[in-house]
Amino acid sequence: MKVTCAASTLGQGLHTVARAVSARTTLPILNNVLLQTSTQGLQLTATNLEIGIREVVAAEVEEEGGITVPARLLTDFVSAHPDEPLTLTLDKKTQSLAVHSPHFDVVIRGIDPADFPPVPVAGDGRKVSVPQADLRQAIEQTVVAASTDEGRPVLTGVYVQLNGGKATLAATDGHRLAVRNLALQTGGGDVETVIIPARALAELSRILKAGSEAIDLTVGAQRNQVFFRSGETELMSRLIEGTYPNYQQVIPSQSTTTITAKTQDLLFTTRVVSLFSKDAANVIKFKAESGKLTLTANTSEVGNSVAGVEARVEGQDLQVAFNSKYVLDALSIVGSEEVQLGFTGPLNPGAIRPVGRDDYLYIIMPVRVAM
Amino acid sequence: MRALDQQPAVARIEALAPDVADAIAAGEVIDRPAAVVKELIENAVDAGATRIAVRVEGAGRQLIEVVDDGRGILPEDLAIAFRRHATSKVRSLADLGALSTLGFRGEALASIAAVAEVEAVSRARGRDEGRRLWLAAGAIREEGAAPSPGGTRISVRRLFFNTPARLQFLKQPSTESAAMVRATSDLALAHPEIAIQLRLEGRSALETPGVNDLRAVVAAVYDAALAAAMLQVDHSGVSGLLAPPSVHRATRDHVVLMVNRRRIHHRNLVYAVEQAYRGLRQQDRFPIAVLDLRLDPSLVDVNVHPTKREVRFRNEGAVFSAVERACFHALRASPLYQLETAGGGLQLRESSPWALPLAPGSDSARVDSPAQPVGLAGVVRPELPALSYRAQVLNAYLVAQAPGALVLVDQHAAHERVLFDRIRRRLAEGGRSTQLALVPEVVELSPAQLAAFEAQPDFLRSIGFEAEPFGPHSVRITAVPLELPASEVVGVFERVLGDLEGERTPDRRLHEVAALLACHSAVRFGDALTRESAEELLSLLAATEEPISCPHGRPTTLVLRDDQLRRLFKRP
Repeated sequence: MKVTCAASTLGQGLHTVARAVSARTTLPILNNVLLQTSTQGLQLTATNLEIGIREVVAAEVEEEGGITVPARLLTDFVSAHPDEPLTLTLDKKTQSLAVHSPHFDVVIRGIDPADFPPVPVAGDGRKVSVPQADLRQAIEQTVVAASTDEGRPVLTGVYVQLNGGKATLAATDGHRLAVRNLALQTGGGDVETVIIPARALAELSRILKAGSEAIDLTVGAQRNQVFFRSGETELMSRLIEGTYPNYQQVIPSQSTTTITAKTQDLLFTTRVVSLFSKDAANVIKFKAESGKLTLTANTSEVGNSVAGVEARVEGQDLQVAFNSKYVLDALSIVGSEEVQLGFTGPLNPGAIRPVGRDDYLYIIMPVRVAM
Repeated sequence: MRALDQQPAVARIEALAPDVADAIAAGEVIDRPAAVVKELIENAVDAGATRIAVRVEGAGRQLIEVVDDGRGILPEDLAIAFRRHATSKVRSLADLGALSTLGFRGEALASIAAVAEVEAVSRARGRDEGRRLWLAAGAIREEGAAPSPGGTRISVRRLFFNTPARLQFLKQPSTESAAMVRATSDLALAHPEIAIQLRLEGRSALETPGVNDLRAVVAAVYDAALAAAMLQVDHSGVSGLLAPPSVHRATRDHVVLMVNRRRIHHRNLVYAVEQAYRGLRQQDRFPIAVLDLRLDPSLVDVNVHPTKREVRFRNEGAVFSAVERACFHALRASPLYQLETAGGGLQLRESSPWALPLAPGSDSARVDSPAQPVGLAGVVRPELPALSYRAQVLNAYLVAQAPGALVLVDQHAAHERVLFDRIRRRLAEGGRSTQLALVPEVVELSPAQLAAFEAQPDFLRSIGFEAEPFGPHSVRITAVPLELPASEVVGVFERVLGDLEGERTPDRRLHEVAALLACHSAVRFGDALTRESAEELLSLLAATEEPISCPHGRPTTLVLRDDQLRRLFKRP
């Protein structure tokens, strides 16, 4: 193998695929990145067996071949290097990669690419495409609600339903639920559902670009993998097996108290008031009374905090308590100027919705406290 | 005269009719379904079985069936076996002195048959044909030849149908089921060489491999992790397995003692086992042990109690010290114990934060008083000095600086203390902070856990758990204590149910639950903390009532005073 490419091009590619390199692993080769020549240039692949990322960077190929080298070392070296052409040459006998540039000559010991775990390529299967920016927002608005408890594996994923020209993403950790609808750019067809690990989507959102450029989503024919592809970058993830809980039934159909407020105002006030809730496991109370909204938090040691929020309060008077973290999460990702809170009682799920859009919904279960 | 006529006549004394006498006598041996299970399994063991399968339906009231592959009963003996005092195990009075079988009184089958409908099918080894017997309330209803795979099958139906009083005194089905699991587990632990299977309401409750490996049985009865951690005991004629000090239970029920493989109950010997843990165990946590005492049968009298549960020893003192010695030996091999005896260096005083590790040989180390707390004598309420956070090291300790001292804080113990105070205060005030669940988690419970769940719904609610039955063996957790991370919910819920078995004063129980919740909700050893969380933790710790120790009594904080450090570094 002998290829030449610009340090900056290679650096960007390495940066993208490095997201899939395992930090801790008992399999040393998973710390490595696979370099292979391809018709378009140099293909970089990394995997932690759960997700895999592949990117082809522009390079001049003189001689074909492949090698795996420690991802961290190569990435650090290339990023620190001035933007000059680098020539990578494989010494097959010693399985080492020589990197030559106007300033440096380094040799990195590698591992035979035959030992690298196969990272599958999207084959046939249900294929749809969505604008990258939309998908990125949808992921940010849902992954936060996914569980990190490996004891309930399906909840560590985001439930994705494809239905006609629409996709729905839903995630819950058992205490809150986030649901986002998304229009597909291309593709359609019957209902199909998969559960994608939230971690994989979080990685995906980091490599997604802003803008309306589309990204393809392909559900593997075996229905155990999903592939995202945009331009020369591809991310593969395994799917979570299991039955996702029927989240539809916990969505309240109406509310008896409705509060509409500016998202930033409510977020700011909630954050400040919740400083006083730290010693009470972050409990914050929402009180809607005679058309006014008051937020309170108190603990015996720290003190207490009461704040009024400018808001339109309609319906019955109500007092309800939440874990402030769940509220703050929702308000930070709802993404609209105004937000609407809907309640039906102190022990029933509360709903948070963006005003002016009906594609997003965040449900929180309250905390039972002595009021 | 008329008045005299109405006086009740003096009742005549008559010998009881045999069926009445049998039913009364049976009550001594067969008091609950678990007793049937125990007697029938013991018979199967005495018959040389290598596999015993027990099936229970309707918490033992519908069916208890025990199938073994033992020697079987001779067809001509089958009916005799159900007569009172009929046994193949003891022939003469002299035999009683040297019993090696589990049964010997010849009462079990007769007692069971007196209070139930019993079907017995058996084929004796060497015989081609089996025999079947059907009895109801002790009377033979049917008898005849029957096909049989060899061994014996006893099916007990409608237990206590003719003794309504007994029936009334039965506890909750889940409690009776738990007792049957316990009885089967005890025998399985006593006989690791026999594959014992218990199916409860169609569900496998216990299954041991029968490969003569006690650890494998412990794994089946408890769990694999405990089985692997158990320490081997083999000393002074006492053999078996013993839990390391770090593993314990809320009740004394988990010490299984056997004499020559016969399960016995002996308060004093259980105490001997506990004695061996002196200083290694908390007052109200109890060890887990399976111990077999090998003794000359003539030195034990097992014929003390109808259920053979109690025994008498010729020389109880010697047996007591043998048990204690054997356990003590095994515990010396436990890592915790080695740490404590080999330590000598690290001496932390709970009563004062100003303790210092005294290096051996340093001028301040005195053999007669190695852990004299330095200064601050007579402090009433221990207080932490003002701490300023410096760093987290090893993802486990927070390093802070106090005026004139270096302070190390165990992050888990510190957070545990903070949460403990908060949770305990909340529980004591009756305040609740319960996160309701949007998608409830379903947990499958053992019969014992289910019994605890049904018995104490208010207590569970008061600590923040809400759950409802979900199918016959499962519950749905609809709300959890606010602090508890999702990954800990099921484990803590089960642990709370397990601990409910033990007797506690309400105050003690509150303390324990608060400690349990705090322990499982706290940051762990090995968790990386951000600077903000670490600083927050230190300030919350300083505000607690007893900042220097965690609720388990372990120290949270180690203060190394500058003058003491100087001495250690041999600085003038």
